[in-house]
Amino acid sequence: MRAERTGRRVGRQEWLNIVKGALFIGPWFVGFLLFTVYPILASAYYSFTRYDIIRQPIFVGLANYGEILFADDMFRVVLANTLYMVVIGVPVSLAVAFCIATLLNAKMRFRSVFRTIFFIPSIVPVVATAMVWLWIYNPRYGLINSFLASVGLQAIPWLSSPILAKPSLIIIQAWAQGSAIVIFLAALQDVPSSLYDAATVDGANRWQQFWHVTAPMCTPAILFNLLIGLIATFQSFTLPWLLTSGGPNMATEFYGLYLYRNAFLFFRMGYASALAWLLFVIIVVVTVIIFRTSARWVYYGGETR
Amino acid sequence: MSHEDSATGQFTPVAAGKRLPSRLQVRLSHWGERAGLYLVIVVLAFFFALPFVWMASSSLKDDPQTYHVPPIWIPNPLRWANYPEVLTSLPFGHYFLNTMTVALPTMAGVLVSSALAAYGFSRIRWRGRDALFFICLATMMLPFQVRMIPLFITFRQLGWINTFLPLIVPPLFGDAYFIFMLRQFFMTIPSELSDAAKVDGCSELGIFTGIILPLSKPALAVVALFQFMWAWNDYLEPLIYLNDETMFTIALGLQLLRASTQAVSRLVWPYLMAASTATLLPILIIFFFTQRTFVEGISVTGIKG
Amino acid sequence: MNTNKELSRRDFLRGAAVAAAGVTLAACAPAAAPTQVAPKAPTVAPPTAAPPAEAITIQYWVQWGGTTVDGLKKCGEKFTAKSPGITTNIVGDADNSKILAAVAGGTTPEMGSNLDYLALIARGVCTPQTEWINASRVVKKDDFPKESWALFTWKGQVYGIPGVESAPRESLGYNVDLVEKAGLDPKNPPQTWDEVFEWHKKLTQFDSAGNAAVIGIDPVDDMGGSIGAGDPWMWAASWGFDYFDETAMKFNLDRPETAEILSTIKKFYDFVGVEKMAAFRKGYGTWTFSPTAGFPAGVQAMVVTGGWSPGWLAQSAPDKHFAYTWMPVSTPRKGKKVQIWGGHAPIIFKDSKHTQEAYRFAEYLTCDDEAANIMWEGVGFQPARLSWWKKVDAGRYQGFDFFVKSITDADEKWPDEPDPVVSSMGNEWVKARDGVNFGNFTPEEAATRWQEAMTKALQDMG
Repeated sequence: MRAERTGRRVGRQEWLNIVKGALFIGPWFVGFLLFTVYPILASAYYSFTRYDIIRQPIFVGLANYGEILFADDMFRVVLANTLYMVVIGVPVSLAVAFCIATLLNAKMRFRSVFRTIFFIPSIVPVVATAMVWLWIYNPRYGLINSFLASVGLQAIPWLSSPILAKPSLIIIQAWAQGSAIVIFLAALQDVPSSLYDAATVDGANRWQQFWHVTAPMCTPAILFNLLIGLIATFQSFTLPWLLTSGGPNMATEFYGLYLYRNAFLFFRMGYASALAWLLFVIIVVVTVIIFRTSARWVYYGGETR
Repeated sequence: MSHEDSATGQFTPVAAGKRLPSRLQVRLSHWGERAGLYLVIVVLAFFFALPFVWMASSSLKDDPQTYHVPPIWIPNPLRWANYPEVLTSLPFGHYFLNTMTVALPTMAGVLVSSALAAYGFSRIRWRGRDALFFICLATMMLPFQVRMIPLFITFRQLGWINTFLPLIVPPLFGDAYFIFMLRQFFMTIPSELSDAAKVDGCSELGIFTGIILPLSKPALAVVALFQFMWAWNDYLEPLIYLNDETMFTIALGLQLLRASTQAVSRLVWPYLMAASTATLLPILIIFFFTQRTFVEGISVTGIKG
Repeated sequence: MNTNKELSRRDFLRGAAVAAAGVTLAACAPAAAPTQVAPKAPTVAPPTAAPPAEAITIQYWVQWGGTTVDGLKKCGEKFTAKSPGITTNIVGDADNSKILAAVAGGTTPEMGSNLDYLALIARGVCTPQTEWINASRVVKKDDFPKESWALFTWKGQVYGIPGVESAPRESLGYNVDLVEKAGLDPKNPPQTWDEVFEWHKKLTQFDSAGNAAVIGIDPVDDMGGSIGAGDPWMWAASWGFDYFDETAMKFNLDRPETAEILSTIKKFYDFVGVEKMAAFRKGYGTWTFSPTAGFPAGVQAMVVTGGWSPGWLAQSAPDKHFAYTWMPVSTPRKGKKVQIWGGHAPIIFKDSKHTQEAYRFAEYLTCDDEAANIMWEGVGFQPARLSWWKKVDAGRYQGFDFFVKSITDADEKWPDEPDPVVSSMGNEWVKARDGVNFGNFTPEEAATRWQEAMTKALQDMG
């Protein structure tokens, strides 16, 4: 009897929770149904067709995927370029952002000014960012190259060398981490000072405090910025489009660029959709791996598990 | 034994038996650390601010050859006229109003919907929650280029083309990026707080508005700021939805500028820089004055202390 | 006008979109029997001169921006003055993504220009204007250069009257002062690419740090990389072969001439240094529009450019001294005076609501001297009509007389870009020449790859 009653009570509570959960996410879910479901499913369908947006899609089965994986040497270049940016660019940018946020968290004069300075890069319109960095990297008059020229050294071919082009873009990526810095700042603010006090009692110096108090308490924000950084870098489009348009010699032809070309310039929306879904799978796999392993390094204060 | 650090006001307990550093030594090492901190910050800030400084400096130049070796940092004369000239060459006043028409409602709307959803995904335990959250995340992982066309068709069916509705309405239902961010923050709030409130008979909504939201002011402010930024700088969506130049947003206006009469004049570079600087000033000002909110929010752990 | 197949596609999309909850609908309902819609002459009556019953607006989308849009707007105002009840709305910056979204959503404008013409035409998006043009009292077909129609003609139907901007597109422009300073004779410009190379060697200068300070020519700064790529079509005309056969729908790139072309270009790059040339290009843009581009800035001595440049350079480099001569040809063809004619036209979209009025506006833009002069004075663009070219003041802009002369004096006249996969062509061109320049493969391999890629692109078009 009692077990039954307990069972029913648990069942009702669970049901109640589902309803409560559903209500809270309701607005998002409605928007999802209205504006997201159809585009996602349509693009999935298109990936199995030959489709130029103008005429009817023609069903071709797995032909697009087959071509991408086995018959497209451009795809391999594109994927390699993109992975380079993800594997090197994201960790570098994240580390830079976190270090700067930590520095900015300390009490100092003009803190507001400094914070604003580090945030500016992320609000500059992309067009302006492109123009400014084209100047910085300018082979004759750019920031560093003009100095080199004045001492008779040859300019560094930032964006015109196939080898240096990607690192040059990573520098810009690290520079524009304003959003990540802001999020880290907000997270750093929430680290209880009592923890720092306890650490100091134990004789920890600043460096040890950083590694054993600051960083662990910020892991939820680190996880967030890491995933967002990955998702964004995999799809990166506007800045490379404006700065290098895939060059030189296809060194900066990234997934986002290749996808755009196929979709709107080559009239191959079907192929582009297959590319998009392949990228989706890659991102999902990477995200799942990171999430699954996150339990080992991410510490949440109050998740209701 | 302990001594008081005069700068931070924190007591630093020192284990008995250790040789106490002299007051002078403590002061020196402390100031040494602070000097080091300032040095690093200033150097970094210098490099981060350089592009923006150059942008602002170029905007006041009277010279198409902003290419000089060495670079000219302070233009002489200062051509303030660049600003009114370029900002009146196109109806930037209109563009500003149009952009605000989109930015303001979406700031409020996305905040409410995303916060609700984030609460549902983190503070209530219910079956299917994590799967749905993953679907929510997954919507960010399919590149926009392939969702664009079906989405456009959706808006066409609704009769929203050439209105602001495609830009305003979808964010009102929440945004995956913000939901994810807020979820991470909500998860750092100790569950004891909600449990205590539940024991007192508080409803979920009550906990949401009475406990979680007030404690998340930093994160909420970040959401509002970022949404404003995105609405301000978004180019691709206004491009395909708006056919009436009087409805264009600032980002589109900047783009139009690049081929306008200003672009052929010898002041092309200063004009473009002036327009870019002008368009990022509003966000900058908002950030500068509101940054206290999201970086100096109420610390959660005060409750434990 | 829509066939049943078009209707069923629209209905499919409509149903799936509105029934957002009907998620399965979208997944399970593929398009009906998929075949292409062959372009058909419309059954709508030819345009009349009677004013419309109520005020209407014609949407005209162009990929140009700024000054060009301003000029077109003025034309629109004048047109409305002549045809009350019809107003025009000119929208600039209409790139492919905007156009294709409109096509998919059924919200296309009435007319468009500076778009991927043949690609859209070949896919059946545009209304044929053949019957109207034939019946028109305003359009005198002989008044247009034969070649200018090619870009808007597909499978026997004409889809646009050449105009808005249409001019001889090729010349070798050079900076007279730089040429003289290098000890060369500006009255004796090079005629073949080998001769251009000799000039290139003398004109290129390096600064003390070893960077390229001035270059003779960047052979692919032609059309300024408008298709993101430069002007591959010019090279085929330069060597004198047809790179595309429209009747057989076949590309002809797999031939020794292509390899020669790529080797020739490589020579220019090797002399400067591939990375130094790329660095130079990053420092100074292409085209003649902006004062900071290579040629207007006076750091690039030569450029291959077209009839719009005299007007543009009058704005971007009014203080410099330029001259123009025939575009360079391959060595065996030395002395041949080659010209390519092409340009733009207002095409009319099939789903447009006011086709008749749009056609009248198109006729006004391309055949009326008033419109032609607005574009000429304000933007530097010329119409296609030969009668206008005969009347125009050849001394209006520095060097413009060469282009006027080339209409009558050219030995060979070629059409411009007459293939329906222009974007792929441009993209493969970049890959071919970058690949050769950076040493990824030999010119012969590049030619073969290019041919393969273009064949595939055609197959993909269906």
